[in-house]
Amino acid sequence: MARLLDLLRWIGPRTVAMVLSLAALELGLYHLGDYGKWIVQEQSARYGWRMLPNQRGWSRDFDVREQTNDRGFRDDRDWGSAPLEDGGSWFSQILPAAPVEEDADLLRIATVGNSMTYGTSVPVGSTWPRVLETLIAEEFVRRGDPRGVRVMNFATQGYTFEQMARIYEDEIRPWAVDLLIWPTIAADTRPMRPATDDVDYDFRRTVIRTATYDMLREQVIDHWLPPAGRGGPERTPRQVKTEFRQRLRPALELAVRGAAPLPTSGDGEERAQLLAAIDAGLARAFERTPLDRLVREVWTELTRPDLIEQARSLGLDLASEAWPALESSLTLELWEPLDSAQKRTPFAPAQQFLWDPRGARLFRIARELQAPGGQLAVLLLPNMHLTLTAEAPSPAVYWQPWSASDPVAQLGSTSLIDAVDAFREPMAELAEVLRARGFVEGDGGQDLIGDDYPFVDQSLFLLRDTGHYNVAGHRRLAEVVFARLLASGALEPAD
Amino acid sequence: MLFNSFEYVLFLWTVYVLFWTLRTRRKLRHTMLLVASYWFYAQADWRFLSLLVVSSLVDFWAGRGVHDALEAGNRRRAHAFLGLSLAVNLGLLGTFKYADFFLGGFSDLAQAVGLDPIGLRLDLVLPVGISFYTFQTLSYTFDIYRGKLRPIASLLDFSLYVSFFPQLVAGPIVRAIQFLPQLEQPPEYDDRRVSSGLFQILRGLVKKLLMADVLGAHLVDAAFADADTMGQLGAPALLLATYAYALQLYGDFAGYSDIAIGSARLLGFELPKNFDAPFKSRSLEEFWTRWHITMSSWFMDYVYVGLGGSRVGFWRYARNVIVAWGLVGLWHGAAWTFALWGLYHGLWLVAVRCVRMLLPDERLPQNKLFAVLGVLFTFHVVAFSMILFRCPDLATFSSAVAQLGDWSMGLPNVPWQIWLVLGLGYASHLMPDAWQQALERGWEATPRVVQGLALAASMVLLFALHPPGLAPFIYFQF
Repeated sequence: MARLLDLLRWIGPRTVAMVLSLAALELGLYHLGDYGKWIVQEQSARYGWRMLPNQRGWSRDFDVREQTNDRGFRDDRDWGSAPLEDGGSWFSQILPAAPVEEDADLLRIATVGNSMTYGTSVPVGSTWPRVLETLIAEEFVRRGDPRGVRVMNFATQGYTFEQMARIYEDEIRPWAVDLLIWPTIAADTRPMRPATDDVDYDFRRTVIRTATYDMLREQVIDHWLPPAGRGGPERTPRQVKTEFRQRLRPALELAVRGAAPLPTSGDGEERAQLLAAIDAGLARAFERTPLDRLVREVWTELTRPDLIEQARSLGLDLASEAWPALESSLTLELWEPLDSAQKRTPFAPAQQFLWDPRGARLFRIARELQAPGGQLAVLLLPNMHLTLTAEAPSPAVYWQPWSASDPVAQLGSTSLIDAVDAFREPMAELAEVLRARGFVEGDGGQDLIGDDYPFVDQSLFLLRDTGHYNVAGHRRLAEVVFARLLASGALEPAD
Repeated sequence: MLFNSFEYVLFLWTVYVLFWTLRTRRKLRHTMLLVASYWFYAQADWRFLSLLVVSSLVDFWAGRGVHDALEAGNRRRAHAFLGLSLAVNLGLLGTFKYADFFLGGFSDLAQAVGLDPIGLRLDLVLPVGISFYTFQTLSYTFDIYRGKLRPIASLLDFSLYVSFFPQLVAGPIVRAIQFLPQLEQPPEYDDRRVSSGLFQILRGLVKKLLMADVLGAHLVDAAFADADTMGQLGAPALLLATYAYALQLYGDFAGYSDIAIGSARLLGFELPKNFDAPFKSRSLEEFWTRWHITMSSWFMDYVYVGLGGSRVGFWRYARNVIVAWGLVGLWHGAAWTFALWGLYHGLWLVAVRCVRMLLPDERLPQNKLFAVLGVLFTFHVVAFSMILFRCPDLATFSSAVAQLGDWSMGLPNVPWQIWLVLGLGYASHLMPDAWQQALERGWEATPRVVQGLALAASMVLLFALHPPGLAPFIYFQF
């Protein structure tokens, strides 16, 4: 007892007061201030951002409860570990292996995507991938098919094409899924925002999940502090070019030579020649091009027919390898104009250079999936603009240059699912009203559908967030996909 | 493990509780501190623990050797042991810190005469803290040689002296004569000292997180990035960045020293002061008695005085100063910028001596006007040297010097928060000593529970206001 009292004396009232006050602050902010209740994301150099695994919390608008599984995706179930035949991602390697359902008894479908597939403001059970899973499961029961079905939703809010492709490469590829559904809208062709890894420190993931951190971020960090790096002189075009080049050169070299140093014999010399030719092209592009056309010009140099041919003789698909390197190397100054132009006029001819590498990438993914008997299905997602404007270009347009030379249809009968028309018919009368009366402008300038509009019940979009589907919209989308899978025979057991 | 990390808070708290729990068990207490210190060091890189152990063993043995030889009147043998200590410690330092620098110089020379010395690089990683602990162990052997210290009997205590975690990585450079007697005394718990230690730590964290890291992240790092950036700055922006860097470097290193001194004080040890408001100095000589005091006094005692000090003729004095400060420059890093930085200070010290020689009694005027002018002049002499200190290479420094003549551009668009940090930073630095002491006394008189609440609030605010992530301390690279 005396020893205990002695110990308490050293620890002292300071420590007790400090720990208790920190605990009281945390609990008070959580319960009284509604801080720390949201699903949290972290910065990532490779993906831009990712959700932390194993979270339970509210959506940002407190509409629905959300949960992430042990892989950091929105699901209330863990999926176990993918087979690690090719190493898998770092993430899957550090996780303990969990039991996986026998593949033979399971139809495994994966989907990438952004908030439209993630299911912003919709309970997880009502998101279209989960509804699709239920529809397929019911179909299997009806048929007496003993198989199970698992639709794994790898969507993350805000992602564009390159981020989805990286999620495919790192997370989905090891699963060798039966079907990968790739939902897409025109805005997906925007380049990913340049990002860096969150600066790591002890207990970082624990800290950023606390209510205290949430309050500090909202009330102090984002509100009062200037972003790091600001305050210095504005960068000159030359400095921006230098940084872009310094990032791009090693990324391209890695793409050409792989992780190992170039051998001096064999094809090592030819690869060195290819790198020299790339360097010469880059030097030309960087020398003569103003900043606003630099990315396009660099891409033109990298996809010069003679370079592509030279790479092909080495077994390299230069266009596919070089684009991710280029997109990862963008600086904020180069990314901002590209992003805003693509948002404004995604189908303009000047934007063609953003579609081409994506089409080629997707085609390569489709081929890769086919090898073990899988399939890719591109799902053309409806949005409010497409639903209201009959003559608006379908997102399919931006796949055309690629699909014309390698028709999607060749990859299987399920390959292109156009869900746009399926939204026009049930919303026909509401669409008329919206064309006549227009949207209501929200506080932040966003388009809202007035609660008092006639036929408002027809809406397949959220009334106060027309960029996302409501529960009925998710169900409609799932039904379209299900019908297409059923019709194409994709649900039949493999031979 | 960084002082400004949550992990360190947990570590220090655990050691603190164990230390006072074992206060009556001397051997166990010292063993616990040694294990904790080695563990602390191993967090940076466990492989370099061997160097720490080797340095400790060699000087423990060499110290005894020197003492026994001197007792027996055998100075040659004493010199041999001293030489061994020097060879091992400076050998370690030379290999890990300077090998590539000198090999690079040799390589350039060889290329100039048409040779092709391919592969003349070792690419060794610099072990954390090696510049600090090798100097500590050397001081032990030197002091025994000079008859100021008797060798210690316990290898455990000596190893603890070398590796004591608060000062292990970046000082203060503690002399054996200052620390070993404290190990002999049984620790007496004094709550006021604990309060004072916590105040020191808090002060250090504010200097590091709110002053140094903020200025670095928002102003200095961008301005000093490379020669290209420097070439675009213009004189006003460069001056602003330099004033900010002077405060950043002070906040970073003085902050580290404060945390080190505070941490040691929690465990009942007193480490020497390392900074004493250096920008208040009225002359460069005074500056070096206020800036990195333990390093400058080390060079002063063991190099400058060894060479003959100031009680010699002018030219010999000039040589001694320039050699000593050239070595001070190289101690900071194996680069020409550091060597030039040291020489610059050496030359200024000689110049100040020249001016003194022209004055009656070699004393500078003591009135207030001269005091203010002296402070401003000394600050700018030091600040200019900091451009050299901060520039990654001589090309960037040349670019900076060229910019000093370009007044065509205005100040950069600096957020108001950064102006506030700069203003408060310099104001608190120049605050009268009495105010600082009153602040510390006020803290010590505050009830313990209130101190606990203030600590909690400080932790939250420091976390919120400093730039994201943990910036390592600048002096870790030395």
